Amino acid sequence: MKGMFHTIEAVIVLAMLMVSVAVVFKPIQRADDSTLLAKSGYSVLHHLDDSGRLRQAAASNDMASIRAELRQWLSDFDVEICTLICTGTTRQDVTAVDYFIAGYQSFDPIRIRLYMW
Amino acid sequence: MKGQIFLAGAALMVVLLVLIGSAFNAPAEIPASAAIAIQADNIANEYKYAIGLSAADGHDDLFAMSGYFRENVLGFDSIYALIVTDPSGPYRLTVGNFLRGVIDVNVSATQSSPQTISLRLADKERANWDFSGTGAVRLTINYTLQNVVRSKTLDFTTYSNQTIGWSDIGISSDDDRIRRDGVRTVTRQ
Repeated sequence: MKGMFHTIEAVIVLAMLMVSVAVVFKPIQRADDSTLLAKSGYSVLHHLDDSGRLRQAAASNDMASIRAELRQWLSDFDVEICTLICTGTTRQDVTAVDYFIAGYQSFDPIRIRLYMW
Repeated sequence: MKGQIFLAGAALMVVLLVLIGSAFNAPAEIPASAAIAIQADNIANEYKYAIGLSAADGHDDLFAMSGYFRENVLGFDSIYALIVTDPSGPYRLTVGNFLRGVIDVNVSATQSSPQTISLRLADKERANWDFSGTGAVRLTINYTLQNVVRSKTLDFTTYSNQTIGWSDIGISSDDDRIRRDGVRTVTRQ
């Protein structure tokens, strides 16, 4: 009988420890990851725009140049220039950032959508 | 008695783990509105770029751009003003309303004729006024939307060949609203 109580107590102790470890060391929430990723994606696009390497390429739909520029900063990404709608990506669980460009030398708005994972 | 000591020890370890966890796992200090804030920064920059385009092509590109963002960005609204000065003639003021409601606009301008103008602008509507002015002008735009009065003052000189643009954009989400206000002056060639 005494042995059974010890076993129950040991199980309770183990359960308490496991629950507390799971609660305390839970992974950072996905929303925070996504926000950080979105901010870094926007920063990269803004940097490329500021340094004159995005606007003209986007206006001429030069996706190869845009991808090559982005590859210097990002590893897992896809990008598209949306015309009427954005076609999206086949990957699941991605963070998407829209970057707008008013045009290049003339007004012709463009939406660049960057997907990151 | 041995079992109770184990339980007490486990409780102590739980407390310690919670303390350690709270020290190392502090939540990231990122506002929930970060997503719309970066989009607002992007759009505000593009308004400034479009003021440059308007100066170059002589058109009011801000009107078309405001319409574009209203169509493509959820919760977007804006108001803008464009002033085009000409040393040999009157200066022109354009105000565009994309604030999702009717606004009452009152414009007052020093060293100018007329000195004041009042008008009601519907959503997605713009209006132009020509002023004859001499020298340094202080132009104040007051607008009222749903009993809230806002004001913007722009300073310029009529002897210049300039395009002065101002935009006040906002993006609203369910629980937040971000605004960006910007002015750019471009001297035309």
